Amino acid sequence: MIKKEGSFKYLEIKNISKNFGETFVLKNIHLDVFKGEFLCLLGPSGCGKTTLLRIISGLERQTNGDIVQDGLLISNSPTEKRDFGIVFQSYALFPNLNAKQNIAYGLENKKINKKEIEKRTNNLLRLVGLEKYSDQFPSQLSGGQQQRVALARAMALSPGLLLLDEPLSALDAQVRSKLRNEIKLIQKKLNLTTIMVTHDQTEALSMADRVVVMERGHIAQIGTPFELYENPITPFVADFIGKMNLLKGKYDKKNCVFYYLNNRFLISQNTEYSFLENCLLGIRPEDIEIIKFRKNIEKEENILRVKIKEITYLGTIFRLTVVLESKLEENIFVDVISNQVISNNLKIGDFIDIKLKKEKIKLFESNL
Amino acid sequence: MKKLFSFAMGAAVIGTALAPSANAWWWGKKGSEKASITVYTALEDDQIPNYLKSFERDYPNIEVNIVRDSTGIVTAKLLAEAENPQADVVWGLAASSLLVANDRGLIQGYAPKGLSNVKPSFRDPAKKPSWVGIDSWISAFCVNKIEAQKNGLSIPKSWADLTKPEYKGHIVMSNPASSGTGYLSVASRLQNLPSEEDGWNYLDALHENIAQYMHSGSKPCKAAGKGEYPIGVSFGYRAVKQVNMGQPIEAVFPKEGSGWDVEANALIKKDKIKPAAKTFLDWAISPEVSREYAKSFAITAVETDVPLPKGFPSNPEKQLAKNDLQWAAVNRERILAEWAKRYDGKSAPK
Amino acid sequence: MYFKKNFNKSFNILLLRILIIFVFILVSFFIIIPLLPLFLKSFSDNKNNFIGLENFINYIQNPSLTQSFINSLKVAITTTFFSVLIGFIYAYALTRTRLPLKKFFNTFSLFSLYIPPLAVAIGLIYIFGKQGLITQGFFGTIPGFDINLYGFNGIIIGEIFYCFPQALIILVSALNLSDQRLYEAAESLKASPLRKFLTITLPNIKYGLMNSFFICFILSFTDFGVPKVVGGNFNVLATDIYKQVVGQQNFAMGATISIYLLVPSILAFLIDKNFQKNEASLISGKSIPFKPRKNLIVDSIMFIFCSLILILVIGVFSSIVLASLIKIWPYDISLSLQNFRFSNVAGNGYEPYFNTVFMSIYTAIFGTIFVFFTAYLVEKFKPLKKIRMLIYFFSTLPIAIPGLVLGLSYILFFNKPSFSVPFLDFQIFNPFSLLYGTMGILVLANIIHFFTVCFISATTTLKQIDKEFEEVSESLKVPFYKTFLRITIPLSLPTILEIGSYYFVNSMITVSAIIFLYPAKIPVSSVSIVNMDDAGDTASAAAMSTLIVLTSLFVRLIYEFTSRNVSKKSSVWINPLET
Repeated sequence: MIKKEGSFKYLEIKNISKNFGETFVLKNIHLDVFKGEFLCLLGPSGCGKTTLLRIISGLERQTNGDIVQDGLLISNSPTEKRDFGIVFQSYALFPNLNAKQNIAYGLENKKINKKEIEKRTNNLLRLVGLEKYSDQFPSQLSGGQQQRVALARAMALSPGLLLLDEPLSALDAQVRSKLRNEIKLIQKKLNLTTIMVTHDQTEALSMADRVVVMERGHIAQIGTPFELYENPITPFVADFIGKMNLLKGKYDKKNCVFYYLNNRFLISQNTEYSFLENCLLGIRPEDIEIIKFRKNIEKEENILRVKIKEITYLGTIFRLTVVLESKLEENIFVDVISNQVISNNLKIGDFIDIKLKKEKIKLFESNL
Repeated sequence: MKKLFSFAMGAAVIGTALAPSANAWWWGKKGSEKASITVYTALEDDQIPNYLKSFERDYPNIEVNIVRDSTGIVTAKLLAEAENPQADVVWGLAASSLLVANDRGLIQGYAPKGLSNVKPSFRDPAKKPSWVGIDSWISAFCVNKIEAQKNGLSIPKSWADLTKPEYKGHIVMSNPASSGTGYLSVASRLQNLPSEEDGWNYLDALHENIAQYMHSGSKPCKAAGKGEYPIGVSFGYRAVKQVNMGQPIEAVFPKEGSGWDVEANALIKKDKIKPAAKTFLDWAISPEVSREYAKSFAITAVETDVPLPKGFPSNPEKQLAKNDLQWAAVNRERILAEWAKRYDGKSAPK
Repeated sequence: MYFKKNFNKSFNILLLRILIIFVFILVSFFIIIPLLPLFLKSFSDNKNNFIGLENFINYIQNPSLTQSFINSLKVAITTTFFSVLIGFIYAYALTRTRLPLKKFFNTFSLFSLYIPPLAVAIGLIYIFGKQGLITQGFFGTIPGFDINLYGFNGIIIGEIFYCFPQALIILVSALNLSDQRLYEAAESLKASPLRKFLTITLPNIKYGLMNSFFICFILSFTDFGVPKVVGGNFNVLATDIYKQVVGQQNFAMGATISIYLLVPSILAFLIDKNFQKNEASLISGKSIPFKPRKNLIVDSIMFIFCSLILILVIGVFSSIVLASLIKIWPYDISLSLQNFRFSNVAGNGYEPYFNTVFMSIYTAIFGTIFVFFTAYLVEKFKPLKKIRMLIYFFSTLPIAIPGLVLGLSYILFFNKPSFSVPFLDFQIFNPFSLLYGTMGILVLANIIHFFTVCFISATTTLKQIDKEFEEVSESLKVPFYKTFLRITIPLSLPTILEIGSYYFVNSMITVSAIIFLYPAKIPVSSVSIVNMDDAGDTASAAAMSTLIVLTSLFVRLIYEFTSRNVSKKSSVWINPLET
């Protein structure tokens, strides 16, 4: 089949826009999806990710723009003429058909003989690990099992493209993470080009080859999970993928110094920042150190004295919510490993010094 | 789903089993080989089967679909279907109603065989008469003797008696707007007092005593028969019949004379007039069926040798009050409007 | 460039569009367009000359006719008040108290739905008429009591019998949607029972309450059967139309009065529709159903109240049966079946009865198919949004069109072989005129007359079925009609059966829509009840009523049996409609 992943564009989304009257839902979306790739559309509700998926499927029609699938222009093709399988959040399993009949539903409409249908249905049941449940009705299956039937049904016609619309969000946490792995495995096994819509960043980061972060109808950033986490290009992406503290201040590009209230922070040199002046400083909570018990604080750079406002236990780490005395309303989050908090006996109301790791500081254009 | 289908199938099976043919239930009774005619009539339900016996015997190849309703309804149907007439023949409808239909051009003149036997006053004088009568029906009172006694009422003998205060709330009569019988009573009162105004004054007084104006000609008599009200202003055949059935009824033919109208036949004007329709009209004034009419009615259009039915006054012709059918037809709309204005609706029972 | 997929046009979408337009044409021709000749007629004299508003002015100037309008309003307002009040108390007893024998009361409460209003009125004659059981003190065994049945009193009693179960159905479902937690919260805040009632119960059911007001108003404002039989000289609009058309052959005035009947109904309809628009479910999916607590006083009062209502309903039905079996009421009270012979009374023996049964079967089959398919097209698809919205609007309209008005407009529309185009010498053939004079027009009138309720219940069911089923099918390349047959219909089967039985029962008992319409060759039993009553053959009318009620009950039993089987079968799907 395909020699190398990502070697050719399977799906091209060209300048797609969608508006309802005056309101834009999608604005000039360009996106290429490679053969065999697992792509996630990630964003908060209302960002247009589901609409984009539905436009790809033909269930919704774009206002402008084109879609090319496997070299064919399908912009105006009706849904039933497009080559894809879809799984909905609600599974949409036919309640009056059992698991097997649900999976065979699309096959029975094709002119395939019964034996062949039987064989393929059984293969699919095996693929999703439900051989034993073939005669059960959806209501007799657990949520996870239902989702697997829905997945098998979507793959029954061997589509070139698999579309998943928030497939896991109705499941509880444990089942969800198990299914994540299974879907990913099946997808890789079949080398099936897959687009999944989700609002859950953990899901996106753990499953996708590439993630498309969407914000209010446009693409904020496209990249591998690692790229997005390490190099978010907008404060929105930065805060949506993981957590990031954003402090508004002034940048002195000559000296590579960022002024926040009357604190100054040294910033690693970076040509990209050269045009910034009033901007945002971004730092992830885990990139802030507590340095309460060190001496010679004055010699160290990028230090802030803060007061602990809240301590939240998150398992292996604690998240501290701290504030500057001069700006009580702005919360800064600091992640510290648990024993550090326990051994230092940190309490609400304590004053501590924190240090922002210089090499981890990012600057963003301020559009706030 | 199978169940639904089998249910529907079952229904269809029952349908075909019970019906002469499934098609007939859809299109109405329809003989496929027989000639078939639709006859509108206002004759009484309990008369029709007897009358039709001789027709069915003599013309087995003609199927007759009888549509029976009260005078008002039959007339309304004729007018409603003006553009798309359903009836072929009208049999036994008030002549005053047929005159209205003729006025709208719905009737085809036709001279049935044996027309010469019909008394001149019982037909349209035209050469091809638009209507030909079969009998005359006359108004009468049905008085329930048991209920009258219970309420301490004497038996009324005349129209004038009916306005006595003792009868207040005890009299029912037919509504002239819907019933031919009701109309002939009203029309007769208006023609038989010194002036029409006196007529209306009489009706005003009568109205004071009326408990209810009823829809049909026979209902007041039947209501009296059941004791629902002691006195019903109805018509002769009905009263006599109920007496003979053994109901506690006395048939009263009012002293001043009865209102009357002619029950008449007519041919409906349509693109294709069926020969069977004419056959029916010929039969409908034949001596044989006229004898049957005579068993129910004191006065028939064709003279017969049948003795006067029991219960009618011995000289029925003398019982007839003065009546001009043409006048009754021409003034019908005006009289009904005036009547409605005076008595209809204002008379909520207190 | 790229290869363009050459089959952009989808056969299925084309088919769908054609179907939607087809259904649009049908509902237009069956619901809206027949009203036009009626309007035209109201502006014409009897010879079809245009006379403008003259009929309307004549109407207003005729005191006896305007009196009918006032009478109709009086009847409607009084009936609505009592029906909703009784319906509410009964519904409250069923849903919010620990009423003893609740199941029994629940089942029998709707008993009067199977008794034609005409038959109710006939039953009332035998109870409250001059020779009625109560008036005469059970054949003179106890002192009698005369309520003066003929007129306003009789109409009101009859109409309440007719309307109260309708209010009951709506209010039971409104009261069933309750949230125990709200009452618990109120209790924890020490709210008095009255306060709870005023602040929780009433606001929760206000849409249901409004809706039942509206339904009862329209039903009692436009009903024909009850005033026809026990109205005496108390005229109402419905009987006026009948008298104008039937007694005076005055179609123009009949049409004019129809407009006077139609306008308040449509107004009530629009007010209700506007009101219901604001309806947002106050009860969330997580709500806990209300569990009534024992309250000896309330429960006993409710028990007495509900028993009284049931005794009346069963009493009316029994008196109909009794009247049909008694030889000559009240003079010879021996039992006989002679009244069931129908040979010498108005209405052609048993033919009307069988015609009616077949008419009802046809109505049930074709009506259910048509209504369900219409709802399906409106509810499940995206193309032609405006047209679908119009179909929806048209489909909700028939509930505001009184049966007599529908019948009169059908007769004016369907008996015309062709229409002339105004100002042009040109005739258009009216294909629907072929239906005139056949069973078809009766079936059609019934389908449309009862369309709204069936349509709403079909729509509600379809709404509960996941819209994504259609999308999944599309993605699986399965055409919509296969999914319709294989998924939608099986899932909707309980509702489909319900619609079928609703159609059947209502076609059995209806009179107003078909009294002007029944072809001469096809007499129907409800009309022969009117005719028998008109002719004074009340006992035979009672006998025919008995047959109708028993048939309706029999069909309802078949329905209960079938639907129990269906739900047994579908129980593995465990309420598939709840997502």
